[in-house]
Amino acid sequence: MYRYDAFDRELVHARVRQFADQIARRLSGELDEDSFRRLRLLNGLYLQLHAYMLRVPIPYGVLSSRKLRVLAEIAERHDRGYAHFTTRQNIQFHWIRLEEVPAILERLAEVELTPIQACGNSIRNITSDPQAGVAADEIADPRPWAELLRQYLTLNPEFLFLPRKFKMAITGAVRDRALIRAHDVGLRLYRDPEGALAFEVYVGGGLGRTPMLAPRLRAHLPAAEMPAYVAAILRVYNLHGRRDHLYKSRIKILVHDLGLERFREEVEREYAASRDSEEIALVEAELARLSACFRPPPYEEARGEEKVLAARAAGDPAFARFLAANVFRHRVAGYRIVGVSLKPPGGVPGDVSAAQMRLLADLADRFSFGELRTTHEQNLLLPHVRAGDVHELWQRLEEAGLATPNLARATDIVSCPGLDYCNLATARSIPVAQELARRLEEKGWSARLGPLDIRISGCINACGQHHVGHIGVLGLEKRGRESYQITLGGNDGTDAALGRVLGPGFSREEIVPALLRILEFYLARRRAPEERFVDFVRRSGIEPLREVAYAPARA
Amino acid sequence: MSAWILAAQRLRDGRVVYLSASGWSEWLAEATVARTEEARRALEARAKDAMAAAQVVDAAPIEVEERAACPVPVRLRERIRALGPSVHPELQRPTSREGERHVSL
Repeated sequence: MYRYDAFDRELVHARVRQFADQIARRLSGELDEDSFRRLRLLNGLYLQLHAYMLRVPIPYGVLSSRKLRVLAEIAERHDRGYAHFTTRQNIQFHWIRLEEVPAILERLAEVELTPIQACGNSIRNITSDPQAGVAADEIADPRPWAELLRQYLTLNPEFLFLPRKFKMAITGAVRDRALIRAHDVGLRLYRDPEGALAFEVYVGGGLGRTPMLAPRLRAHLPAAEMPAYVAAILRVYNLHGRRDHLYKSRIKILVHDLGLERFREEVEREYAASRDSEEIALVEAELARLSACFRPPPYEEARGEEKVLAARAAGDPAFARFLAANVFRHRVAGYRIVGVSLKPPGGVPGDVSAAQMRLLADLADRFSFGELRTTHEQNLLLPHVRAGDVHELWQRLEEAGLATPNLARATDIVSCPGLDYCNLATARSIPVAQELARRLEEKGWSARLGPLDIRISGCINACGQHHVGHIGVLGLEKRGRESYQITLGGNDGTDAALGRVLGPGFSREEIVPALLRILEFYLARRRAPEERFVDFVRRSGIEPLREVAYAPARA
Repeated sequence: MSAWILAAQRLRDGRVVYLSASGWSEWLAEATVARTEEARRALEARAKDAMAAAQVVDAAPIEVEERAACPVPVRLRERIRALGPSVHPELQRPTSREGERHVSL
């Protein structure tokens, strides 16, 4: 894991002092809200429905037990005993008092966390594959590259006044677990036929009001040239991106309006003009330095671990279910990646209590070299667990309500905070997720449905990433009442797709029954249990599902 | 007949407050109700002053239905603001200082 050096520490502490001074001036009335709003957003602080909300990025999802304990402490001392993990590998506190923010930021800085660039028109948390460095299908570790970009783009004066926010994701695995095509810039690290590391570069993706999957800008970019190439993209965006219209200011609109070819020409021209061989050599040296921070932990040689795990699973069906859903192959023999579900049926997706955070920190120390990961689906991973320890870990998680065997299953519902917390929301999203998960459990469908990705957003901004859910639900306000639109056939990952809108919205009372009718139809008509819901939608089209969903209304 | 109260968030902690006869109150039941357009404009003027004085932020009149015990916000968003998140029953807040909850979602 990357550790701050003296420069990083001073930069972050200086920023805390600067923002503390701005807060003091705001509280005294010296700064008005219009002036202060932009400053607080650049420090991760929103004003939400009930209080201030502090967003703390977890850089590329890599979290230590030490950091998690401090996050638990903040939840307990400064919030209401819990926190919320988001779809962009961040954590949010929803009950923050402005006057306590300086103390919170000091505490975060002590463990090398900062909300710098968590909001506002800035380069946000650079997200990555939650399995980075341990995935069995990984080609190259994206974490040193993500850290290099983080350092290069944090408070970089050239990019502090972008037309709009800018989100980047990076992966180095065969399977895309970082949703790279739904980002302003998506990067995929691979080895070219000569064996050299290279990037595939995608640009102009994003969900929200105008959902688009990023087209490929460059198929092959020598890896060391990536930071300068990303800078060229940012320069073109900075120069040509619209600043006159909030809804047309993201880079995806620029790419769309210029056309991919013209945009590519602009970037290549800028890159050719700014390409600097000394800078490339510097990147290589810096990457070598950063890579040393991400060396594997001291794994032990596996001796009979697999047999121990298999024997445990054979004798315990509940554990076997956990193993099938929440435990993933590891690149090192005898180890596993263990998923912690923050989606107990009926719970609030992504919420975790301070006590649970402390327990997870202890379990990370005991079983995973003190390391955890945050996922895009609002869950956590313990990335380095000996196969022979998985059963004991499962028991400990089970006692704390953290072992629901549902990762990537129907009840692993992604949901933004929605109208229960968010100032921008137009409808509640969490209660829909809770009710649907409860009904799926009651019906015993959760396991039967197999891999199924359901995502719910409480407004058009799509923080619940509903467009890429196999089933997406978008909450809107229609004539003063909540109304929910369904999309079907979306998908994240390597074969990413945007869902198609099924039709007019459903009322709050009708949305869950409509979803259940769709799922019942799928269970009755799928060719085999192996045919995933999203594959069924691709085969059958959405017409039959539309008929089913609206059946009672038409009867 | 339309009626309004003045809702805002306290600057120092972001908590939702309502303008009452004795200043800013955390209790919805204590909110001062404006029943005429002129009274609503007066609330807007109070909002402007309070924001300029760095007491509150996002102060604005919200429409309510008048009930015997408590004005009830017309919009769901405002009812959630008054009661707390519907998904955490333990964090729901009362609408009066006596601990009563006069409003439901």
